[in-house]
Amino acid sequence: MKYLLTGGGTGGHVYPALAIADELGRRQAEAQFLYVGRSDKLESWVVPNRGYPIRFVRSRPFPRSRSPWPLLAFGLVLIWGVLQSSLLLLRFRPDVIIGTGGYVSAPILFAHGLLQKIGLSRARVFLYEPNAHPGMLNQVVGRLAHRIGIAFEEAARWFDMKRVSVVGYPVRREFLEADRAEARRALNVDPDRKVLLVFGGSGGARVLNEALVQALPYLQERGDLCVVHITGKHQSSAYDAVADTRAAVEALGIPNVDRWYRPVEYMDNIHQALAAADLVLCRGGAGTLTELGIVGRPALIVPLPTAAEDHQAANAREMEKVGAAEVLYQRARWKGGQIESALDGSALAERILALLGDEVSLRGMASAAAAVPRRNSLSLIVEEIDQIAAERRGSSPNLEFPLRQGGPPTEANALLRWVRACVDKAGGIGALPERDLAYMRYQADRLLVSRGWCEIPLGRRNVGIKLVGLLDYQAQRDLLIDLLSDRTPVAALPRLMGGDYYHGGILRRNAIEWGVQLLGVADNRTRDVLQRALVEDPYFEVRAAAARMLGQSEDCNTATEQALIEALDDASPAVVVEALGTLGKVATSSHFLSYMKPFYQHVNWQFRQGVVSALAKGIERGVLAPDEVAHEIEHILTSSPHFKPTFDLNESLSALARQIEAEGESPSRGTTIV
Amino acid sequence: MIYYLGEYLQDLDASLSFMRLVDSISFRALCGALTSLLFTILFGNRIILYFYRLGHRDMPRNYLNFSSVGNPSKTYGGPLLVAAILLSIVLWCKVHTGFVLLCLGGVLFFAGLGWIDDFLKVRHRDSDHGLSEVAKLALQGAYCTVFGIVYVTADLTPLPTDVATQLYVPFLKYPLFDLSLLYIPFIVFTITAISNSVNIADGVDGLAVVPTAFVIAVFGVFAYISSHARFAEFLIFPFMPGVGEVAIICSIVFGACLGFLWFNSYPANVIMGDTGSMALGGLLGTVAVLVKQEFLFLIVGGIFVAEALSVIIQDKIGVKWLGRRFFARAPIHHHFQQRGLADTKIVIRFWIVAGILALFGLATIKIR
Repeated sequence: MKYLLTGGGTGGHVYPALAIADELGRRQAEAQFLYVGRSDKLESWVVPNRGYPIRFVRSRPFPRSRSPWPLLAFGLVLIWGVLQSSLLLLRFRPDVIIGTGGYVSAPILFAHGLLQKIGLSRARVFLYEPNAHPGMLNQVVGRLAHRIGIAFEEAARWFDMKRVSVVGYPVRREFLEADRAEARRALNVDPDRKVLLVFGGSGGARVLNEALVQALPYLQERGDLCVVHITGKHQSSAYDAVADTRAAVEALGIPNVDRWYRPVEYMDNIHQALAAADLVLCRGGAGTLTELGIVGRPALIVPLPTAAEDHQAANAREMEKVGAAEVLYQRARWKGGQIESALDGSALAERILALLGDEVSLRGMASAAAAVPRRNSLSLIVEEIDQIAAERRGSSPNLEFPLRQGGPPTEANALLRWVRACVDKAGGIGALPERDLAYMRYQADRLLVSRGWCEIPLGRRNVGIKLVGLLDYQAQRDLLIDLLSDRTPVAALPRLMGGDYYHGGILRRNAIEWGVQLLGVADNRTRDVLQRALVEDPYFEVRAAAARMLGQSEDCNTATEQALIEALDDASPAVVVEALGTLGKVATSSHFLSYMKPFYQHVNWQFRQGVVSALAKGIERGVLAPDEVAHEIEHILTSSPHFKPTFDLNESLSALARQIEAEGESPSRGTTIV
Repeated sequence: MIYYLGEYLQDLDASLSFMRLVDSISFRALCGALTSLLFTILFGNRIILYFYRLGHRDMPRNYLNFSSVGNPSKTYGGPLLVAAILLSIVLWCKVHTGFVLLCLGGVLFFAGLGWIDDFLKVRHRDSDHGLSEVAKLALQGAYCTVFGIVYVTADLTPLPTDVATQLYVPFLKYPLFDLSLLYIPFIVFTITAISNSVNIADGVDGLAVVPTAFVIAVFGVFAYISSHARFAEFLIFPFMPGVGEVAIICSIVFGACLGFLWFNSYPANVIMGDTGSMALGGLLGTVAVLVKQEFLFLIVGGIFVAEALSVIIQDKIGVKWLGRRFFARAPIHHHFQQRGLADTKIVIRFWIVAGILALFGLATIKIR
């Protein structure tokens, strides 16, 4: 039998393939393997280390932006990759192709599809999908596969039910046999010490590395701790996982730190580290979580916010729900004009120390974790592969297909609607369960970090800002204020076309209209920034929103009033109208009346309307004397190019519809009538 | 039909020789306009009621309450407009000629596309669930490519072959240069741009029909001149025998637009929907290309150009790229609504501007 394995990019795709290959090789001595991957990804060195031959093809992730150029580049690279793959397939002539997902496997699978069409490839295809939300590639090539193995039942919705079987996540045998005492001996750790394993997935995690180093000073308080830190091999001009971590630790200057802190670049026998650990700090990839479960260790999970379809947070929430782990979310943070996602070291240390101090709940988490995964996953997969290789029809899978759970949608605007529906259903933010609220706020953080403005229809950072307001996320108030007062210019070409700052006009407007409006104008800093925005912001909607929002602030000083009076000279009618209305609400003395005089006969009736409502508010608040105003209103021009016709029939129909609704029978035609 | 009947009858008997009238383009243009006008006015109510009962009603978008009316739902009456145009064309034109067939194809295709769009909106009860922008553009592009190929192929084109691919520009007597095969993409761009701009302009009661009537009237005059050997020679226009049929079609559309305005004037109980606006726009584009006055549309159809540009500037450049707005709302008529102008005022001001632009357009006949 010849097996061609493909899939990769990250450990989540590579390790299942290797585990499958190991098991196949164990059962069939004569089996031949060939791995196909990309020369600059994880598989390029992990696979040869394990003794499998590997060939490289070109491949590229599918661009998620709408811009045509990345799409073109993707197309060209894909065509080239498919040509390379076709040659490989023709030369190797595999009996079975095993794809474990990831864009790396795209060329081979497409090439197989083409060759199969013209009768040159007879290979059987087994696809494996490790995540609850299938990757794009597996969704597309699912129809080529003779059998699709999935780890989570939810993933079945994307595929042809007859060919899907739930197989769980394959892990290497070593994990099943891992033993704590033996592992501690192998790692040379004192049995009495508490071991914290920090492990950012196959590629390492910069955020985890940096946060852990920040947390070390707090962690040293606990004398019996041993931190095993797997940094990953990441190396680029911006960040070198090993060297930067070492430098940061040295800069802290903690005495005797090497006694209890062990940085490791990469660990091939991760099962030993897991077995030795008392608590694991990790990412939320399906592979990592399954391994945790198999070994049965409690974990603090920090999901990767940029994971495709946010699947890591979904995985982590599943673990949290069964009590197998706790989740700590990354936060959005303002850093020199940009928003970045980060983890606060002291918060991390606090959570770690609290967990380590609570033996009972740690034990509970460990046993809950052990109950999660399927242990016979590998043999299930290998049986499936044997079946399709023998070209037998497998027993049709007997599955309860779950309907779509009320989980959060991945698209940003749908997510916003979902959050709003959840808040409404619970009856306010306070009534939401704490975990759900934390998760929703994490969504706000995740979207705030997004670089994208152009994601259709309104950009994702925008939705993040709206969520901050909607969820009353006071901790991010400062970030919104920073965003509002930021003056980082946008690139030259968009500036020429009328763009202004990196955080574009609509974002700034929403920071006021959603953020500040819902968070409230509580402090002086917020009010100062609003005042500045009213006077200096180059975008009219921001100025108008600021003018409106200043009317909400409780105590108003003369500076506010002065800013509003300045805004009466604004070039944009929308701003002037708002400023007039707000003046009526906040002005402390009647002297603003003199600034309103020029608008009495203004050509735009909306200005005059603003004056009238301001006067009414002034009388109501006792700032203006009624007889003073009586003299004024004679001068106000009342003609207007605007009128509101009323359709009697339409109104009586609406009244009828309301009446029917009030009687308790909602009319089926009601919505079309009104 | 009446043309063929008249041709047949005038040879039959001397007493029927007055049937020679059907040879006259101006006579048929007048009759065509009257037919489409009377058809819409007489049958309008019945047809509107029919579509109302079918449930083909507009679902107003409710982003902000900027409309000055309590949003009564209006019936999609595009098929009324299209039926009037098709009927009159079949009655009064030489249907077998290339010019008429190309115009008929344009009306039918664009009306069909618009109808699908309307139908989807009605079925989903949502104005945002019509055909996607990409699908619309792709289908329009496909049709226009076929049209363009017919247009430049010597055996198929109704135009004189030495004129077909020449690029004429207002204010210049002679063609600028010969585009040859590049004329196909030029046609694709012109027709899709014009049809979509009419579609965009159709946002307030009566806003799209009247400027369309003005534009089509101007194109009708140009078509008439080009069809007449002596006028064409005197005014130095390309002489295109047979293009007189386009002049008749223009007057038919003019009549249909007026008839539609009968019901569509503010406050309207019927709107043309995408069926009507796409059909009118597609026909406008086709006519502009057939009479070789594509660039004239920039002047005469200035309203449509402004509407389309406002959308592109607001949406494509502003919101999607720069993250800001340039107008209070787009298309531009919503901007004025937002600024507090009554719908009627906006519409009539747009008519005035369209009328002035039409006069400018007519002036280019002599100022060359």
